[in-house]
Amino acid sequence: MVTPAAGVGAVLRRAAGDGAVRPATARDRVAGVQPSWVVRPQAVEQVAAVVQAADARGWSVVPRGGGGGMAGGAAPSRCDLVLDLTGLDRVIEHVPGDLVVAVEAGVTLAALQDRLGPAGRQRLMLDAPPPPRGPAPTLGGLVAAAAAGPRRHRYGTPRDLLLGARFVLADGTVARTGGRVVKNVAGYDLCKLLVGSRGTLAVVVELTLKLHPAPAAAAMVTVERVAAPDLVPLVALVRRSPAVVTAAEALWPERSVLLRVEGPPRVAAGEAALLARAVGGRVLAPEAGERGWSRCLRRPWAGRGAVVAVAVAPGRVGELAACAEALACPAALRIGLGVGLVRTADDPTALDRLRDAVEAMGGCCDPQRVSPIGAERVASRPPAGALRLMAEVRRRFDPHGTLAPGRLAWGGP
Amino acid sequence: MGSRGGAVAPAVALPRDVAAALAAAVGSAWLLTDPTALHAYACDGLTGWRALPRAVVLPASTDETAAVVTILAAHGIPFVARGAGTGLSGGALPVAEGVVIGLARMRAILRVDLDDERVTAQPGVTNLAVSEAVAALGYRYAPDPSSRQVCTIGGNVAENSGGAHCLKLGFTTHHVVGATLVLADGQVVELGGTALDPAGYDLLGAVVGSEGTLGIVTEVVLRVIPLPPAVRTLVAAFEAIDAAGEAVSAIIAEGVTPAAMELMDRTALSAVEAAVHPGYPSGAAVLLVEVEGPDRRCAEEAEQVIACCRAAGATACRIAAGEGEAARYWRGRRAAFAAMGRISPHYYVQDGVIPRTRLAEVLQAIRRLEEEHGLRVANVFHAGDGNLHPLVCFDGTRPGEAERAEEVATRILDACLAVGGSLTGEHGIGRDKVCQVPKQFTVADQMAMHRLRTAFDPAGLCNPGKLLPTPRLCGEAPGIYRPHPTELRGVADRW
Ligand SMILES: Cc1cc2nc3c(=O)[nH]c(=O)nc-3n(C[C@H](O)[C@H](O)[C@H](O)COP(=O)(O)OP(=O)(O)OC[C@H]3O[C@@H](n4cnc5c(N)ncnc54)[C@H](O)[C@@H]3O)c2cc1C
Ligand SMILES: Cc1cc2nc3c(=O)[nH]c(=O)nc-3n(C[C@H](O)[C@H](O)[C@H](O)COP(=O)(O)OP(=O)(O)OC[C@H]3O[C@@H](n4cnc5c(N)ncnc54)[C@H](O)[C@@H]3O)c2cc1C
Repeated sequence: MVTPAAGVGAVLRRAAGDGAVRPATARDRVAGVQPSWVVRPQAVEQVAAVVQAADARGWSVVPRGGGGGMAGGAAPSRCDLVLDLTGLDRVIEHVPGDLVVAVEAGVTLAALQDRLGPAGRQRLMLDAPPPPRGPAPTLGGLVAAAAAGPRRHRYGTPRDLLLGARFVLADGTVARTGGRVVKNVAGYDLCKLLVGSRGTLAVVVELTLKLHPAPAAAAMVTVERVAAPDLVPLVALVRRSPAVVTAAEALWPERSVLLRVEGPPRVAAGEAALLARAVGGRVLAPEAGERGWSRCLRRPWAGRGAVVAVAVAPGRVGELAACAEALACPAALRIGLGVGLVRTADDPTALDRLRDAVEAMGGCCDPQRVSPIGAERVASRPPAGALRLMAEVRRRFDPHGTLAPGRLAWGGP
Repeated sequence: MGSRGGAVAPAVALPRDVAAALAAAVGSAWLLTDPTALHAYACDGLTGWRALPRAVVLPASTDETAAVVTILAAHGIPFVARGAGTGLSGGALPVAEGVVIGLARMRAILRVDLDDERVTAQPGVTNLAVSEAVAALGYRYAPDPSSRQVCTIGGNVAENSGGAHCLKLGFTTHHVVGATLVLADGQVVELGGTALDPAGYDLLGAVVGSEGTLGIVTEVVLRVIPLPPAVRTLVAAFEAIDAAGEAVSAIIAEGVTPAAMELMDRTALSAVEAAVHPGYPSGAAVLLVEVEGPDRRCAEEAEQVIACCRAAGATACRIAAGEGEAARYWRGRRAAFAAMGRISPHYYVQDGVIPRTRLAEVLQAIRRLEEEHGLRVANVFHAGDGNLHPLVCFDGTRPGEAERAEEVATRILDACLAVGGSLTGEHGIGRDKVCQVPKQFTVADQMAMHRLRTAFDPAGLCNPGKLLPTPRLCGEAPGIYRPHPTELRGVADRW
């Protein structure tokens, strides 16, 4: 690691302004690696100036939003500055009639939803970690980590919601991709590359996101004591049922399945009843439903240990549940999609076992909250050919390896 | 690079050893070099642009495709992938000094697995064939371009194609989960697969919509979804197209997301009525809306749609009484492009996007252009997502009229961009709009895209001259992309 000399502070202050630069403390560590400086710019031009200055001098830069998801990557090979993006906190434009919002990357999900408000009757359909745990996630962080909650079942991930982005490349170039319209095939869709890139291809500074009408009501249906092999047939019933299901979570080890139906109040209630009949479950009373929903959002984050995202072919979700059961891992499985979150002990044996089991099903593991060494251990690697291509993409975007070097647990450069 | 209109230059024959190697790779019957055979490949759906390739090769598998590309790469010969050739932006226009690789022989559906909700297909399978393969099992492949009977999945992936039902269900990019890609040097890579969230960067997401410039797709894994339990198809007539536009906004504001919302203006309607008699209520504009979902929800949404249309001044609203009537309404919409032949000898199909809320002002701009240039423009569009397809009518036998039509089409795009829209919503940049890219993207934006392209294809052999402008294609206009010298150096030292 290059230890920036005293002149570094001056360079950074010139780039981002006096108040934006401070020496890093132990709390700013990135996966155990101590940075020297934290820079918190308030404007895109300042981000560009900081990144360009760092790139020219060989300092490495790790972007950070709320900081809640920093344990989703490996330890950086170098970490001179943390680029704190929470100063970019403007909502740039909300056009309700277009169901589109443009924000700076440091806007928190909570602030955005507040801003969209009940009056607008619109929502960004990303689930938030339930408060009050930890720092509020930012939109830049959610996009860079491809984070999504249970309602991914219906609304997808940031991949499906990101219409356009403005970003700063390692050399300080500011560029845009996509646009502010929902349908657009002009040029390459670099949004897809940015989603889940964990700060290694570019610093995301502005995002244009697709909104959805906020559903007026929700109802929860539960099916208890589901055996792992029954999950796939259960999913088939859900798919064929006359209900618009927005989340379908299996919580293990309780072996319960929770299904969420959203819509206008009468419609949601009616569909939930039909759904319950179709799947042999029951509709939960409103309070019990809320408790169930909050369990879905918390699982398996609440509690100590490593949190790992897993994905298998949807038809193998029963095997995935059986695997969680065999390994005694608490899990929340998105049964319609074949993905989920699993918690396990953060030690090499447990992580290896989980990865081996998931890969034996043809699936992948991606660390979400794991110790740095554990993250590399548990992360599945892309096939060799794809990995070479990914390394090449990274080299073209960031030839000097300035942005978050070594952070990709899956073996990215 | 291809030329506009005029005669097609004869192709320079392939070196003998290259031809022999290609013939050995695919079998000599599948290497076409005879000029009359090549003529069938001189253009895609944008017939104004033509070029003869040096040869057409028709591989039957991923391995054969990789072998073909390896041979071409070794000789520095550029190549262009081709599906059904229905593209409307010249994406499959041959490169005059290059070879066309046709995927038409690779048309097998390899696997259907409904526990996974996946269909694995070769690239030459038609879009409709995928839906047909799963229809009896209660499933469908959601993206439904009007060309679905003929266009291929490979072409759909390359263009990120959409269709009328993409308003609710998303575009090709939302329904492709895996692909096998032959890179420009002949290497084969697997991107994604049956499971979601494959390890690493989402390169598949970047390949979808890349117009055949990042490699050749030789296998795809598609997501299929259940058929909706119920569907309601409605039509509403309005005295003015602006009122129909207001209805669209009101429906969205009401919180309803229809599966489709299609709008046609008077000119388009007169052609459609003459051609297929869909029996729309009469008016200056017709809005076709489809809602789908559980029966009760569907009925409620249909009521809401009707209320919005009435409030916006609809003169008539009808819910299709059965599948027959619904099919008739759709036939009218699907026939819109072809029907234009009834009212105009020639027409130019434009594809632009606007934020939905700016519809009225863009329509007004189009009307001004009609008046200024003395040409009629028919408007047919995917109103829900702001994707306009103005059809500029002209008579090519009248001197100068084709040029004026093209001028109008270009100015319409300018109007789209002026309100924050896009150059294309589904037809792609291709060759057609490549010189207009700088109107939407800065040099920095283009350079970022170029970084991706060179990572996949450093030698520039894969569908060159499409998607990103170069000085050779577009002249030294300011803002046209040129690789930055430092970029070239920076990358060069890495090799
Ligand atoms: C329902 C739900 C519950 C959750 N519960 C928890 C929980 O209890 N505990 C927990 O730890 N996580 C939880 N998460 C995950 C967490 O919300 C995500 O990891 C999210 O990314 C955190 O956002 P952030 O702003 O804090 O990101 P950060 O932690 O700041 O960053 C995440 C990653 O993105 C990069 N990054 C951040 N901003 C940018 C940018 N602008 N440009 C480029 N790269 C950037 C960072 O380098 C880092 O690699 C939950 C997620 C969901 C959906
Ligand atoms: C009447 C008509 C209606 C249409 N309606 C719609 C519509 O509603 N929505 C819509 O989105 N489009 C529409 N289109 C446009 C067109 O049908 C689509 O773009 C379609 O996806 C093209 O498929 P194709 O097989 O014909 O591809 P081609 O025209 O052969 O090729 C298109 C592009 O894809 C590339 N390509 C083809 N196959 C591969 C492959 N295997 N690997 C890599 N690259 C490949 C080519 O190089 C080219 O750049 C319409 C066209 C017509 C003629």
